[in-house]
Amino acid sequence: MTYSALINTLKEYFVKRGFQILVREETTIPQDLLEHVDLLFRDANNIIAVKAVTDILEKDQFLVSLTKATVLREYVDKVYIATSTKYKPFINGRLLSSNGVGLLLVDEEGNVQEAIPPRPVVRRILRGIPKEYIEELRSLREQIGELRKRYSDLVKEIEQFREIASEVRELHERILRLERRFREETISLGRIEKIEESVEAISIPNKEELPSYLRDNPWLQVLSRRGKGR
Amino acid sequence: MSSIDAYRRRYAYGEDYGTSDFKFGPITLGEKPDIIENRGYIPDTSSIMYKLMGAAKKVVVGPEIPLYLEAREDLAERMIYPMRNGVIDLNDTRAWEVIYEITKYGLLKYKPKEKEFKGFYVTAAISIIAPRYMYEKLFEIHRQINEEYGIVRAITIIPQPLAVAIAQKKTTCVVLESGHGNTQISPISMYPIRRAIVTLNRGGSDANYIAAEILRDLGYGDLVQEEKLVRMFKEAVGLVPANLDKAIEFGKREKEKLKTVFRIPGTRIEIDMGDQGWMRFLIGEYVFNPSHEVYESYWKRGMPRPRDLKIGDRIFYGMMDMAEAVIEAVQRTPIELQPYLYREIILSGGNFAWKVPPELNGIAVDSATKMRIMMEEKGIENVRVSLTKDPQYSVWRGCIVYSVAVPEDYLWNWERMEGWIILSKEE
Repeated sequence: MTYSALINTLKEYFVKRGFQILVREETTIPQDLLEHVDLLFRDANNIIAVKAVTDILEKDQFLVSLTKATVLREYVDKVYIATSTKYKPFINGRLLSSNGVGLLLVDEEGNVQEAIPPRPVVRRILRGIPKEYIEELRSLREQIGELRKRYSDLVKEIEQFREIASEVRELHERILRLERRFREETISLGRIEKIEESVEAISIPNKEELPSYLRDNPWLQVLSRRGKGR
Repeated sequence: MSSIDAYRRRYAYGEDYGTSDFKFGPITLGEKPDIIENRGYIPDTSSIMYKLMGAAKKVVVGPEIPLYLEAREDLAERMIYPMRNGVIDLNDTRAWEVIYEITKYGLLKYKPKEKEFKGFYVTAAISIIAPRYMYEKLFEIHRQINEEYGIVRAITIIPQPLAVAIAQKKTTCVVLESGHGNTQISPISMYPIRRAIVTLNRGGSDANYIAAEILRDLGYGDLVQEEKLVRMFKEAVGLVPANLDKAIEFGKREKEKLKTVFRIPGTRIEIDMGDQGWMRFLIGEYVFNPSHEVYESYWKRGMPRPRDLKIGDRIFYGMMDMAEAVIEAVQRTPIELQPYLYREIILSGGNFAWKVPPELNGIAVDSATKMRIMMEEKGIENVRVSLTKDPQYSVWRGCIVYSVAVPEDYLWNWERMEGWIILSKEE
């Protein structure tokens, strides 16, 4: 069977089934792979590629065609290898099935038989999703990420506030205790004025605040251990 | 902070006997100590002022000095700067009298009125190369003041580099203290490592010599007799080069960028460096590395070369470069400690305060960068060098921390040179 007879038979076969013939430029198949495609069809959203093999003299030749067809699956939804029925003994059907490539056999009378159905490529479905949806999904994903981050920051801040609030409560209680003790001692000694005087006398500017060089100074600990075993 | 003894939180007291100034005062002064010049005036007993003031004072210190000053030729002789080189001679009676007076002046100025006051916890800081008799003398002075005024509860003395490390909050570091006459390199790891101290017989005064030579070269030889003027010139124009050879090459090529006219404040004198602006780099480099061949011609003309000097059992190196001195000091410490010491090098003292004009950025550098470059050239990496914050106050601050933190029962021991001498017992 000649190449042109095989091609014409296949065209007729697919068109009869409602497939639309595509020209190469209508697909996204890279230039270097186009030489391994003989026919391209569209069935609804699916793109089908067919490689026509006119003669298989050696098993290797079939393998070469199969390899190229497998690579094509990256860019189309279904891939067929089509050849004459007489080459059937040279074809390893299991190899085709496992690679998801379909087989069409054409006899001398022009009958076409789908000997092995191709396995549709799942990820191709994603390519069919309109770009704007993908963009929106991406933006939504980013927004969710952002919200998650803000949420975890807020949780951290709330934790910190809780700690501060508990420290404030503790300090408040201590102040109340000290106030009570101070009042009791003052009253028990019966010399309120005198104590007030002495509090005044030891007042120090910024008494509650330590100078910067004393704050968080590791030497305070080092020096306070002097004499307690070197 | 709860460990800070409430009494010492009020009555810790610090004294920094610097070469030029005496910084002193209690913890309640906050961030900055009181400062008076570390000097005393011995008045002429025949002067009118002396008679007017009641003839009571043998030595005058603090802000009263100008009242007694007279325009006399023997002024220099009567004005005593006891700590010019960080060390006072044992028999220099007048210098010790000045130290007694400034110490008393400070303590009495801040004597509290509270009834609970039983005396200050005083930490005094002196040069790390100060001999033992200076410690004994200072203890004696405080004992005497306490006997007269009951104002010192306990006294201790620490070396100034340790006080710097404390104020900088670094427990393991190398402190480089560069003053007027010498530079001390002191490794510290919780304690000063005294056996590792390296001293250079080189300080701010040596940079003055090279500044004076430059003035001569520029044709202003008549001005070099004025020490203060030379110092002002040095401070105004001196630059530290990242690399001296490259900086000189740059200075000779980009003359405009280094053009300098120095005006002496309050006078009409102007020093125009013309095309010789590159000489500015010679001043800063001399502090760090005087062994560069460029200085050879100055020594040949009679400029004093920093010499090795032996005082007691200590050698003061003259020509050793600053990075070499740090390495020499660090190598005298245990090997495991050495990387940690290199990681914190603190530069303290006026001799490290050099400006970097923005237009010369990269050619001129600050002292910390210079040290880092020099250390890297010698194969020491991971070096962190910093300049002290508020260098004027850091020793006093370290003294206050020491007064606050060291336990009262840690008593003075001459072997470890640390601890309190208790002067008045608690009632």
